Amino acid sequence: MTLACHNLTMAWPQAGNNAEPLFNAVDVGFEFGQMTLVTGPTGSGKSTLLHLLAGLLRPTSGEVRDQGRPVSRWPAGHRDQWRRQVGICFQNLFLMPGLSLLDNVLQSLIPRNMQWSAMVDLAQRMITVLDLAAFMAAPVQILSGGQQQRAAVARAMVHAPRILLLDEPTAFQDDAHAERLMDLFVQCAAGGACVVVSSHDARLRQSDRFHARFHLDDGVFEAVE
Amino acid sequence: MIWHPLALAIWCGDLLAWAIGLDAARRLMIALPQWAPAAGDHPQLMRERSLELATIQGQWVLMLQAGSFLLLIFGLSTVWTAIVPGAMCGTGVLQAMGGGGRQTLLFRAAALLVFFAWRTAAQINSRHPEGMLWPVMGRLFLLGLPLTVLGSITWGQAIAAVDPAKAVDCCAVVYAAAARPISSHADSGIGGHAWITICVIGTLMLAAAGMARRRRPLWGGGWLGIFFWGLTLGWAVFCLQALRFGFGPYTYQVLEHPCPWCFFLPEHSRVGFLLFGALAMICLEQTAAGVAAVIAEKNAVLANAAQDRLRASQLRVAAAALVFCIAAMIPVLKWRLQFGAWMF
Repeated sequence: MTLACHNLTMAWPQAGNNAEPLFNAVDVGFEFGQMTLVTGPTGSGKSTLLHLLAGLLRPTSGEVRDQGRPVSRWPAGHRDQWRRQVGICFQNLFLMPGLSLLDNVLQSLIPRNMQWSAMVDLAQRMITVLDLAAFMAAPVQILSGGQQQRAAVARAMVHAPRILLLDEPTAFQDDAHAERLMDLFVQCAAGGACVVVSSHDARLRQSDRFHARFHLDDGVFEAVE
Repeated sequence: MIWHPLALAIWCGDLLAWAIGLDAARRLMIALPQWAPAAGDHPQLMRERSLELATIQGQWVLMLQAGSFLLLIFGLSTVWTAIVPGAMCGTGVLQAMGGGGRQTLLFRAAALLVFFAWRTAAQINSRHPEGMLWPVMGRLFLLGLPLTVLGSITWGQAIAAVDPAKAVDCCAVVYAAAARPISSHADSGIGGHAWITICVIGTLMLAAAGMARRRRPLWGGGWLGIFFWGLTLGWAVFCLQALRFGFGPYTYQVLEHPCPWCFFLPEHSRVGFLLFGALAMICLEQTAAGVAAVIAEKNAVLANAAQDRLRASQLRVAAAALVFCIAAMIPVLKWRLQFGAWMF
């Protein structure tokens, strides 16, 4: 079972016809039940790759396949349904500044037809696990950078996604919290999810908890031993 | 020529439908000849996005066409009778419009049938992510678009022909048109009660057939679906005649006034909207059932979705048939209870 890029090419249309694609005809697979680390210099396309895997962007050519199904080519309605199985933590976080921490985490549970009390219960547990229980009702903008990042991780993980995509998830974390987040990601992968982390963080690069590593540079994907 | 706001609203709806429809047609003409679902290259991905957008545009065209058609019926039956001197119902207005009035009704009805078939295919197609019916949908859409253009052109001719200073002879038109059919039906022995009896029994049989097909949607395959569709369209024409010659006298309480447009008058509780609306629903849903039956037979992956749509359409056909029967029979039974005798 893999989340795979098949012959995937991505070029930004805004960059003009002669611009070099970010990556060209990439074939790479991310296994379910495993954690994969994607590294690479700034601007190499790591975030774009995660957005493509999440179905937020459509490739210029090629496909993203979830267990063989070409999800990136599905019409919007079906892709939106599929995306409910995906949790993503953005590099820019995209928390809703007017809402409380609890409300922010509840966002990703709302389309799931769950009982309100069950949703609140799940969100509160996730927030507690991420050491943010004291800020449950606080407006999210008063949290520190690291706390906001953990809030974004909580929002990505609260619905137990099949596919978890994390863009620089430990960039603002101290060592203890970074380790705690890694424990959570490992647990998620052990539960059968496909976890893809893109990061520059030296602590993650040196971690032995990833099952696979890729390096993305100049549009070329290389598996790192 | 009339410049009534309702006539202009129909024009606006038509122009908007044209603009959206022509852009969708352009996309389809570019995408369909090179359609290659197995390829995942850039041109094919662009074609897929193009067809996805064309589907949304098609929905707008259908909505605008349906809206224009409803406005046209409302205008003919209710509004423009006040503008055309001598017109008491839609018959007089259509007389003032010349041939264009009837032609625009026919072209618009045909366009709605085709677009409804397209919408049915789109609904079934949307149940599976890989869009297997896009080429078929594209062809159906391209088939419907010329009909909308013809509907608009004939509409232009129709409103250009209206002269608010020239009186029409509304009832004379009805009697002149009806004289031949009445005598021929009388010669062949078809009286008012025969129209009513055959229409009611036939419509109830249609409802029963619909309920039976709900249980076994694949029975008879696609050809039976097309046969039922043809039969229903023929049956709708028969019902129209039955309304004029059988139910009309009871509704109007006049022995011979075979006018289909008088059903829409407030004196008759505007029952025409219910009667003709039910007939239109039967025709549209039977079209949907025909399309669904063909898809269920030809496409194994979409068979379940097509069967679901077929079942839903048959339930609506049965419900509309019952509504039609009840609405048509109430004046008949009311007359019988009031006067203790049948009219014919």
